[in-house]
Amino acid sequence: MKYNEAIERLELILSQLEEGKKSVDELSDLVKEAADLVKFCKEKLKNTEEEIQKAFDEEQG
Amino acid sequence: MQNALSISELGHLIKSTLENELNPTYWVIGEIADFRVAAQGHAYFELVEKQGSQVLAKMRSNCWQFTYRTIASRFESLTGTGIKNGMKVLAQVQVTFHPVYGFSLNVKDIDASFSLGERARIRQETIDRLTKEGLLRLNTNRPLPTVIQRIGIISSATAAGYGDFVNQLEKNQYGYKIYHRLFPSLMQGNEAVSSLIAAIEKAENFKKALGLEALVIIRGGGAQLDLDCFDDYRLAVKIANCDLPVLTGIGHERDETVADLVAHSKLKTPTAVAEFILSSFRIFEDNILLLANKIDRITNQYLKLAHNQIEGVSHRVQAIMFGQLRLEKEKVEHQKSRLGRASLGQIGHQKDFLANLQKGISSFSSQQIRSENQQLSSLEKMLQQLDPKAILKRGYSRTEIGGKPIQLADPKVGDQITTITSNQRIESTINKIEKEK
Repeated sequence: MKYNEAIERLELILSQLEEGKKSVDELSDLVKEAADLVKFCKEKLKNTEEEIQKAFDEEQG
Repeated sequence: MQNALSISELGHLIKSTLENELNPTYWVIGEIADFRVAAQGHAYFELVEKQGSQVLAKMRSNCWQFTYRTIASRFESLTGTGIKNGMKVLAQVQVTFHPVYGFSLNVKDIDASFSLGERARIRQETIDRLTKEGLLRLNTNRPLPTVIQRIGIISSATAAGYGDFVNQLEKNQYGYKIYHRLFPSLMQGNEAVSSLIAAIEKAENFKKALGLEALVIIRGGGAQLDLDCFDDYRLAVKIANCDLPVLTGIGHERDETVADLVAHSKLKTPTAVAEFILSSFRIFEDNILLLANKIDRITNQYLKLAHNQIEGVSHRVQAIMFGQLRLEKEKVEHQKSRLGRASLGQIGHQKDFLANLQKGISSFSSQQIRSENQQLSSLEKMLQQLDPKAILKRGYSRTEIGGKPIQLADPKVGDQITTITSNQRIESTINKIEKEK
């Protein structure tokens, strides 16, 4: 999955949650999905950050 | 009138008169002519005095075997030549008269040093004459090639010197090829001069056809005698005027001959002439090698120079390149840090955004959870209120017939009913049933 897709999905979940129309069962699934997406996005950001760091460090070395 | 004498008496008279009136010996100067040595070893010749071609006096002379042997060997060892015709000598003579053989000079001694001096004088006269005529150094003007490759040889085919010379030329250790052609000549004796001149002329005639570059006169081998022909004026003139440069290797130990003096180059022996010719090759070859070495050296110098130049240029290029590189590197470094900052900033952005999202999601979801919780707890409360146990506790009871709630059963009198309170089960029997209106 792409980072942008993940973010879009998160935004959608947020707006759905804002509406407050979801059932508790759905809510649980949505929150669980949101948590996974956040984890994925954080992972992606962390990796990207590391790659950037590494790329420029290698350049220096 | 005097008494007539017999011939022998007269002879004796002459003889005794000569012996009485003349000294025992006289030193006389004369030129030798008609020289011959008889079988017994006695020498017979004429002593002549000339003025130009005119004979002024001529006396029959002899030298007896023993004396002649002594004189001749001394003469030869001193002058390097034998007694022969045309030679001017200082001789000690006894005037003798024999009644049968008549008047003659008996030679007791010959002063070799006089002949030596005489020969030197004649030789000097020849040299002076040649000098005056500008002939002495004439042949040296003939160009001698740097490398002498084609030669004419004036020699005797049978002379050991000739054989050695040819051998030396042909078997040289360097393998040089030298073309040679013999123009045979007598090398001694009365005919030698004419023969030599004829041979030189022949060689001149062949010069063009054979491409001759030099003429070699070699003798060598055999006796060291009879070199007089090489002092001859006519031969000297021929050599001086020769078309070809003349090299002599006459092979003698005494003074140079006139032929040597007029020649282009004078060498002592045929061996020396061969060596001279071969050395012209060697020197040429050495020069070529020297030049080759020089070329090699100079080329190497140029190469080294060029190499150094290239080295210098390359160093400069390198320095410039490194400078440029450093500059570019700094630029890149700058761009990099900007890029790093920008991309990390982007990441930070994304992080914030994500955090916000997360916060939103969690806050909204927990909010919903809270409201659900509230609903749930009010429901719970309601449910708690509806709990039968709670009702029972308030004093109400529940009645069943055969496990069924009483309002759903069809109770009849006599039926067994069970009453359930909060803490009791009461069994009773129905006595009466009244229907409510």
